[in-house]
Amino acid sequence: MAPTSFIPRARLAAGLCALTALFAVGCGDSKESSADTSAQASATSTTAGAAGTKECTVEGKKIQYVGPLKSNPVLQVMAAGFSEKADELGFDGEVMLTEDADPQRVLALGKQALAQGSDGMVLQAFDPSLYPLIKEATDQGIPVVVTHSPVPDGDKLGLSQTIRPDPERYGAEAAAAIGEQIGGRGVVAVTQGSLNPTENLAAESFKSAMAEQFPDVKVLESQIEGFEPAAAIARASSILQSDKDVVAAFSTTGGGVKTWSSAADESGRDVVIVGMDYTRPNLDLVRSGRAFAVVAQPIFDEHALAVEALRDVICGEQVEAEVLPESPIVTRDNVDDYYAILEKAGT
Amino acid sequence: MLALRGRVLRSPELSLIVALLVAIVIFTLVSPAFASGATVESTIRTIAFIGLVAIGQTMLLIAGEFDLSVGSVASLGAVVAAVLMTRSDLPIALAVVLALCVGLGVGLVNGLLTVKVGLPALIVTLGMLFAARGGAYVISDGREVYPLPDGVRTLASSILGLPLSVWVFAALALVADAVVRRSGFGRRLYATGGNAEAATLAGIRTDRVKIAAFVITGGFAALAGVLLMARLRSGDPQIGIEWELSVIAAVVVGGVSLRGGIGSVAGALLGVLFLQVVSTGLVIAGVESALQPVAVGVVMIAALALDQLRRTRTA
Repeated sequence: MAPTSFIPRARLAAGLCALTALFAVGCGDSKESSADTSAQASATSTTAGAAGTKECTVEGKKIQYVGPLKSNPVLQVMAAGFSEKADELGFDGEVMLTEDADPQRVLALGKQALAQGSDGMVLQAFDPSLYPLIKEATDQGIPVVVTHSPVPDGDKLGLSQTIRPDPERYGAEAAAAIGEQIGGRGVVAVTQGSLNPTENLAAESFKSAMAEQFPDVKVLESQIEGFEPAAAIARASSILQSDKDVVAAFSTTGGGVKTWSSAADESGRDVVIVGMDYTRPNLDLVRSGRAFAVVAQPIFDEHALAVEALRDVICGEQVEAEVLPESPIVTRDNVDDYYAILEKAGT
Repeated sequence: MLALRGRVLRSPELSLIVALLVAIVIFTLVSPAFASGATVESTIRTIAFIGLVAIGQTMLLIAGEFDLSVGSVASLGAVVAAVLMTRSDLPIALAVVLALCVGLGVGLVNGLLTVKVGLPALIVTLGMLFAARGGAYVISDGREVYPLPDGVRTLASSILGLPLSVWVFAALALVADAVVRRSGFGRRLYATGGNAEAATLAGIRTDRVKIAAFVITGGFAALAGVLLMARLRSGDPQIGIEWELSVIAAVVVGGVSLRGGIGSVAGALLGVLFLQVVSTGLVIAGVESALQPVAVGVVMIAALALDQLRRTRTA
């Protein structure tokens, strides 16, 4: 399946011109964005109307990134994407993350951000209890961009944009990668951390894309591996024992790469493994060849794009209501790019 | 035949062995892959960790208390050991010993709060469940402690084709079973859990017995966490999630009474094995993922009902 382009060419060109102009007039520093090519292309998609952007400056404007889990490596990569782009565009960007995943604390932190003065907010609205914060901000004329999770009826809340991964798309891309790697034949297992809309969609999309592109590949019914490592490995081992023809596995959860590589090692089986998220342990497994690939949810790029969207809104531009950046497949060939992102995020 | 039936009815271990054999036969008929050597090996590897926790929990339940924090203590033990051997650069052996001390310490706190302060074990250990898990996240900065020194591989090395964790589990299971069945401490556990008042009148320091059982439980949980850390080659704060309920369910299925004074280590470990066999069998048999917890729950309730029936008939 060919990747869908979300970027009209004319707007891409206009956006690139606008960015070039911004650099030329010194609105941003000269630091190069770490986002990959596709992400940069996506980023420019939010920049409609180059003329307006050229004349607009956001230098010194205060924007905040509000979310949970300050210590979590994924959140740290997200924060790095926000900070780097905010610095680049000249914003006064502040990362405000809570210690834990309690939405009430995130809500309190968001209110604090509004109280201290804000020109725009990037918000992790992972829980409906955070939606009133969006309304509160937009009622005050403060633009809000939500990352990583969908917000139903976001337009009614005044939400400027939602930027999130597309599980349907990365599920299909994982199927393409595995199907090609196993030569279009064999049995493939699928596991999920839990039954939830995102993972369900990724698993279903994987299965249907495989059936469409590689009809000789049999995809087993998705099984729950859970989040406890020992139980997850036991579950994966059981799947391997249940069918001697399993040659590949796709896990829709971040721990799945380790789960499957451990199960394959302990069972003495050669399995093409694709899982989620470019954490350092996962990248090491890809680099060592114990896993074939990970799906890189665009956690860095999402947040860089969110800052660009805020810039556009502040400059009076129209932005798309929803942006679904690509989730690249990371193999040994491009694994170094993702180590570089982790280095930048300090994780 | 009647004599055999009588023995089966009287012995929870024997009745569980029969149930286990029935489960194995059924799953093998459904899918011959279930009886493969690889499945057996995988099952043994898996129960080693939760089995270690079950040993401590069994002693505690026999003494009339229980501990809901074991999964979190396993996580804390793993993370503490990993952090000490990486960020603090301590020798692996010292890091492991200190992590075990943390587990023993948590057990001591649970014991003192329950026995000396008089707080219910449910509240104390539930609170410790959150505190220890939170502590593991704080110490690890919420992420896997990774990579670990190469020397950790020794803790996950194989002997005669089975990992060290399995041998440690087997050795400690034998020792614990003997201690509970034959030693003075074992007798005091049963006496304390069976009737604490009578035990006190008989001169047994029931408070000390219970605190010791809490400490042992904490130590076994931390040991399980450390061994799992070695297997995973990372200090993962997600280690041990939901172990507390799995362990209590397994040991109760294995004939250990929640009211104290009844049970054995061997029976508890058969319960652990039984539930793992059912869990593995359901996957291999291709039962739909969402239905598996339902099936495990039904099997657990059925096992407990049969055990209750057996007790009623033999009373």
